Amino acid sequence: MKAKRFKTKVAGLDHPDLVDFKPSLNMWQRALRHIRQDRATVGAILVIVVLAAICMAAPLIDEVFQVDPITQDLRNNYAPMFSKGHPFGTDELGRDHLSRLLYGGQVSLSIAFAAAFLAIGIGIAVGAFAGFYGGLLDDFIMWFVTTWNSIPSLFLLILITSLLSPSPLTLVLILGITGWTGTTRLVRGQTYSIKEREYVIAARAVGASNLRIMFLHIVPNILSLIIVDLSLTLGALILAESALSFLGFGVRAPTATWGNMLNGGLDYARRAQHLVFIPGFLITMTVFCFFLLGDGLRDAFDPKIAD
Amino acid sequence: MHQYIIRRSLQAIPTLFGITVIVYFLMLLTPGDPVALLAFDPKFRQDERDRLAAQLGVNDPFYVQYLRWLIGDDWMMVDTNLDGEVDSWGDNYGILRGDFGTSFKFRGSNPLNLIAERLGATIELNLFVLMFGLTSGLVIGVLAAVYRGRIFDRFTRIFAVLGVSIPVFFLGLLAIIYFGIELPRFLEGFGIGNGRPILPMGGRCPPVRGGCPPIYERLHYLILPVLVSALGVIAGWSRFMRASMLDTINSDYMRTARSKGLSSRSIWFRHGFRNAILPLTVFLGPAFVSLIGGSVIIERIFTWPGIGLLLFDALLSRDHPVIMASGVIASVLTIVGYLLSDMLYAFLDPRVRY
Repeated sequence: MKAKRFKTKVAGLDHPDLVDFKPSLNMWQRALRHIRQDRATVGAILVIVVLAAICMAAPLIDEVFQVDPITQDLRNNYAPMFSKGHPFGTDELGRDHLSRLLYGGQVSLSIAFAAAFLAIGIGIAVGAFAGFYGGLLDDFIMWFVTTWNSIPSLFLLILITSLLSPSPLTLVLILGITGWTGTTRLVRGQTYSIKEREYVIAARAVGASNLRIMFLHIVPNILSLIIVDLSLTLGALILAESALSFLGFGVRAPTATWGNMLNGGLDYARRAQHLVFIPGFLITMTVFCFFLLGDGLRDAFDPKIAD
Repeated sequence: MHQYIIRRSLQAIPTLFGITVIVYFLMLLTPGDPVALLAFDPKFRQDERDRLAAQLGVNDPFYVQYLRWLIGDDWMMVDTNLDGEVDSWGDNYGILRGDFGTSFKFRGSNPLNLIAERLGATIELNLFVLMFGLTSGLVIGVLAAVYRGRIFDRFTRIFAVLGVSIPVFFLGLLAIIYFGIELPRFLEGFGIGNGRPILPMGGRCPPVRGGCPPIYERLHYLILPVLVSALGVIAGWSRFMRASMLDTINSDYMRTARSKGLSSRSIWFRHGFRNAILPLTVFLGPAFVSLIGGSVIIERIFTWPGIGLLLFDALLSRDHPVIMASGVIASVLTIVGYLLSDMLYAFLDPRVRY
């Protein structure tokens, strides 16, 4: 393979040793190559993408099966799986289960994604400031993080959830502002060690501002860790949403989420098991894929693991 | 060592203080009026409601309520009949003198007594979960490290991720459906049993008068909650143990042990296992903490009368003193859990400097 990546002609470049020269892969290319060989991670990505796509295509699927998530039909409630007109049966009010699962999936996944980005965004900002400036600010932030982490998380969630009437939007805020401490610890520790590296000193020497150093030099260098963290957070947030629903503090009806569908199904578990098993299975599978993805990404970014 | 313990304990004080402020603040922000919940009977007149509110002190500003909770009000006069003049001495001693106040819902009972009844149940359950979860997790982790890359290792990886992905209450419900309904029905088809559940589906004791029998007579009540709750512990610890074991076998002393011809069992268990388990003590605190945090859910599924359920009921009925007391106790348990695991690590590993 003849590499033509130099604009100017350099003397001696056509030397036989250099013709086959290939630049070494950067971190992202190496990670991508590692992931391609890791079948479990590829599978997890596929499942997540397909599931999200199906949920987003809910209006289309509604058209195909002539169903919608709202219409009640009390004479036809608890219809079993594969019944006529309702491929996934109906729930206690005779609403179509498939359609509700799809719209519920939209809400659950959007809540998880939005809350995860919020939590990680706060975590990065606070962690970078704490680690970069150190001193009293760092002491105060770390004291707050330790304190926040010492309150059992569900207790904190329940307290805050009862402050705001839980709609999807408030739930995003709640999960976001309770979930940022882990990322803060991570980012703060990394920033603390990276800020003494040569390239940061070099950036400072050419006159880069503190903000520029923090967010254009330090944060991009811990992006791999943050991506792993994001994947694990997404899984944890879907679980948290369902746990809150179980305790009665989740998104209220009539908005469907996987969490409150599973929780609602519990009451009818003996009459219609599909109302429990399908949302439960979907939650478990989605969380499973996010955790698997996080695991795989961690391996892929780990420079110690040779490929 | 003593200095280390003292220093770490002193560091816990500002944390504890911060927790009380945060929890109190959030609790008071919560909409919902404790008085309305206590006096929902329409026969209550408005002036009676007002007097109740004054006696409970729930209409005072945040800092007044918090300070009264913290340092008490027995040193000042308060107005309890709303005539605009102070008339009697306060009766709170404040948490700094060990007084958790009086429960709103169960008038006259000290939250500490309510908690003492429940705390035993929570600790009992979680000790069993930890014992069962840790032993199985460690064994699985060592085996996965020994047979790494083989079928067993791959299977346990999937199992471990699955174990933390499944919502606990979904798992609990599956356990109840299968052990409580399907399995007995299935066995009945073969003439075994009478179709009634084999294991108790909830509760801590048989429903008889005279309190709980000693624990060895009601171990079967623990089986389902412990199994369901331990799955996450097993899943996590098998992975920690596998990673730690793999770190250990690559170290120099393991190579030395191998080169002087020790049997592989001796290498794995005498040299490997013992050293690999050491770093794991750090995870002991967080493991205990997440169990305490998750106890609300497991206790609700299996109606286990623990502190999680008490806290949940108190939150619903806006019983401020009980919310604060159980919040503080749960947080103290959390802090002590972290503290103990750090100290255990420092104690076990002579290389740790403090």
